Amino acid sequence: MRRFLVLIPLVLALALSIAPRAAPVCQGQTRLAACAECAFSTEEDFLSHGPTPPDGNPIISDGDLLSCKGAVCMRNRELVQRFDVTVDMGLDAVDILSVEKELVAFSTELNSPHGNFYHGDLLTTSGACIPNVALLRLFQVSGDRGLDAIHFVGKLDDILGFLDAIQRISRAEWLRDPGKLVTMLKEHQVDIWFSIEGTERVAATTAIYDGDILSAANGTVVATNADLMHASVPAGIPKRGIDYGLDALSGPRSGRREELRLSTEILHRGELAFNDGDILKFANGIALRAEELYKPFEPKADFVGTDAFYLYMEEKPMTVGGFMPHVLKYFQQRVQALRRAER
Amino acid sequence: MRRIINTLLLVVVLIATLVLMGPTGVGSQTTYPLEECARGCFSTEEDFMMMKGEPYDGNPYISDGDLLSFTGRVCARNADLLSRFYDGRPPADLGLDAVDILHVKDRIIAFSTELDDPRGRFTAGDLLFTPGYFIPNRALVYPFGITHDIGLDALQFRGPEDKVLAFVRSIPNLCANGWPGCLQSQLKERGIDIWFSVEGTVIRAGAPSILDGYVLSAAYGTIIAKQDALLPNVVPADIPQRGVDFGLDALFAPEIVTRVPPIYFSTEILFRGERLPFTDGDVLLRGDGVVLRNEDAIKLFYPAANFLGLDALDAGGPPPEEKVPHITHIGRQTVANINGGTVPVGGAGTGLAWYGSYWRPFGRYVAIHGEIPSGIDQFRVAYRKHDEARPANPATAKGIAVVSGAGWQVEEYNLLMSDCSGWAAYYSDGDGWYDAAEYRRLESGVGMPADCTSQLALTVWNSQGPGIDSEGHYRIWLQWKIGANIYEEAFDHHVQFDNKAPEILDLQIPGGACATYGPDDMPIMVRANFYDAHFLYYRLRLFGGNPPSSAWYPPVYHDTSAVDAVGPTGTGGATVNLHTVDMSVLSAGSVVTCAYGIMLWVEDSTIYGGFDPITNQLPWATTYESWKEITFDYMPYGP
Repeated sequence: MRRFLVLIPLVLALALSIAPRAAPVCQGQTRLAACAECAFSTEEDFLSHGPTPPDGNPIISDGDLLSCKGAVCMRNRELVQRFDVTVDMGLDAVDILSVEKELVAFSTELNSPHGNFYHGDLLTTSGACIPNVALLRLFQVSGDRGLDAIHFVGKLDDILGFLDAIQRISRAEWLRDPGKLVTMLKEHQVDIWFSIEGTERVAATTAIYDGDILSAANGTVVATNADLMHASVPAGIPKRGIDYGLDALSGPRSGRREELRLSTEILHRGELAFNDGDILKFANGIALRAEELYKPFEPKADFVGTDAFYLYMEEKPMTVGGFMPHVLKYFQQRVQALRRAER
Repeated sequence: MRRIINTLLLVVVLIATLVLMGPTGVGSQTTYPLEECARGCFSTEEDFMMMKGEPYDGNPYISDGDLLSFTGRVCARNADLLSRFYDGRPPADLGLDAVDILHVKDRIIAFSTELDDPRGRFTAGDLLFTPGYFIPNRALVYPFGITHDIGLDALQFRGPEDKVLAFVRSIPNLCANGWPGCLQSQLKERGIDIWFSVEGTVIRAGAPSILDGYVLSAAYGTIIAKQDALLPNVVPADIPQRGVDFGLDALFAPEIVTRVPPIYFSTEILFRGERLPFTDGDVLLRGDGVVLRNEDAIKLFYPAANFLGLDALDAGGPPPEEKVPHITHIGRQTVANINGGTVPVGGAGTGLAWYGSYWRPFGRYVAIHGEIPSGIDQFRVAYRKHDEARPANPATAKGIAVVSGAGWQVEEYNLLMSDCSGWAAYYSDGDGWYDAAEYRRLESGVGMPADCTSQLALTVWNSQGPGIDSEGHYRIWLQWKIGANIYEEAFDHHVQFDNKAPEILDLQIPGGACATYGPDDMPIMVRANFYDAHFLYYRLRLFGGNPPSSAWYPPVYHDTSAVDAVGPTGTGGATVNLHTVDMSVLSAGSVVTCAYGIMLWVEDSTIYGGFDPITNQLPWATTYESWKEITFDYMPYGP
């Protein structure tokens, strides 16, 4: 019996360690909480026949940030309000970094009417603006090449620290010294993975396509379009033949490529068919059908496109067959034995 | 040693030549094969490699900024389009979001890019022109009360080609004080317009919402077509009524000025309904669904996948054309062969056509063909009795109508199948007014890859229709509308109808019907009385015996013999001798004691037109005919 009592706290500890953890949310704090685990934006506007948004307007813009549960987390004007913009700018890429602080990184479809940001810039709801040329600095690309997907990589505290540090840097300062971004990313040990709208085959250090994942900190191609797709998909130029584009990207902060989720610019009708709104696994087919994403909003069509996507992904616990420490393996086996005995 | 020196000299000369020639990148192309896109072009959403063949510059890599033809050719690289903006050395591929080829020979193309100018001079929302100038996005959207750059996703110039080109060529000298407002004045003054769609959406209370799926007019600040007008009812398109904005990614409307022009377009997102599903790479026709699947548009580039999206679309420049609308044929006869076929208004004529050596009237369905040039909204063929004056008010004239209920269908190009297996409804309103653009599209293939119905009638006149004197003599002429104004052809075209078959009033043989003859009675005279206003000929047939046998006598035209008693209208109202018949014309073995008969066959000279609206068949032949028989007994050895 004593032995059993000793085991209980250990079992609880183990259970806590292996149970999937929810995203760090203060419930009810903001509407953004609804997007803490999964969020997206659409390619096109539509009328929601699901839950009426808090502002009473059932029209969903392709610039609004939506939760996968059917809530409007932020209207487009709320995303860009720190830039004094009141018109809809669209939403092309998103990464939710802190629900408590309502800190969202994103990019827009359109340039600011005031000229204080462009559609290729990386913006935050706190008002930071990293111009596109700074992201592409190490690729030696001049000019705005667009920004179609973003994903911050690193420890969350480091990412928040980085964002706090750049808060005071104006767009003009970045343009004067675009190389500063690389320095600051390295200082904070974070990276920004992103994709662009255009293709740069000549001026860049290496040819980059809009279907590649690029690293702002290292100036490298994290994953080519061919890497992202299943081998049966003719993705990648020049070898396989097609660039499918990369319209949305999310994954764990650790940067484990195998856990990435993404969507493409165009559909594919081959053996592993997918639409340009489906959420795909890294090199492994569909993770979530587009219609499932939009379903809570009950649009009149089952496809409205996916333009930005965010998924909270806690690091997976180590498994018995993996690198679980021996002591935890032991307790896990004990728990399983106890459960069998109880049955 | 001398050999080494010579070799070195050659190398030096070669290097010097190459240096003088300069880099030969894509950007330096000045003679790109734009002619390949004269009959239609597009761009894709994504880059790809040609797995077979190669473009004009030898590079199988195709960018989403390149201009491609439906025949599998690269007509212009993105660098070619941008060349004049960068002194021949564009910095990078900026994508291609919208296109309108305005003049192939002079390489004048209107387009927009996906990305902003790296040097900050233009944005992805601005309207660019290959000569190197642009109109800012804010000028396009100014009349909609939009003051920011909202992107440019599709584009179509509207108006006469010469006026559009004159406008484009003068752009560098226009609107020095700013484009917003000035652009609208310029477009209106010149009678042209720019139709376009935007990337963003403006939904506002108290003012019309502007969706990125709408076709907009830059000149007038109006919505040309909303989503619910572009897409069929089964698609839940438009906000807020039907529920979804499908976007508008590419556009072309082939006619210059029309009442309801066909609009070809593609959407931003796909639709998976059970009826009329489409992808965002398909070409759709307003209200009609898919006309070209994406895989068919791209297949001649041999990509590794069968979908690449569609980002820009155009049908090429208009063909040269006749400038004055006019009627060319009536009842399939050229007006030059009709008496009074083309006469000044009120001029004389009989309305008879010279065909097959005789003057002939028209009967049943009379197809009317003509030329309808661009720049016309609507046209109709008007008619009046030959002794009436033209109405002072052209709007009060009567038009020859074939309304939609007639079910007239015309073969058209099926972009999906790349052949002429498509069908389109063709009809007028109740007053006979037809859509000129639709006529030109169907008749001449304007805006289409091929011409499938090269002899489409302007209209088809039912000469036995309600209110029509089926034996009447009429004048017809062409009317057309440009805007609210009605214009008229400066000529009359006479048309004479004859829809009555010849009347055989009497047919006689000696002794009357059922008389009995023997060899001594032969030959016997056949007498008859028949009438037709446009009698052409008669002929007799003798038949009977055992086994049955028959023989036709040669036709006797009204002018065959000066001595017979028939004339242009028949027998002149009396029973007259035709000609004799004799049993010897029958096969000898058939002439036994038996019953025999004589048939009188009478034809008039009418050009008889058929009309099968379902298949657009307009068969025609000549004559109405009538016949009558009379019998007798014959005994070879005498009664």
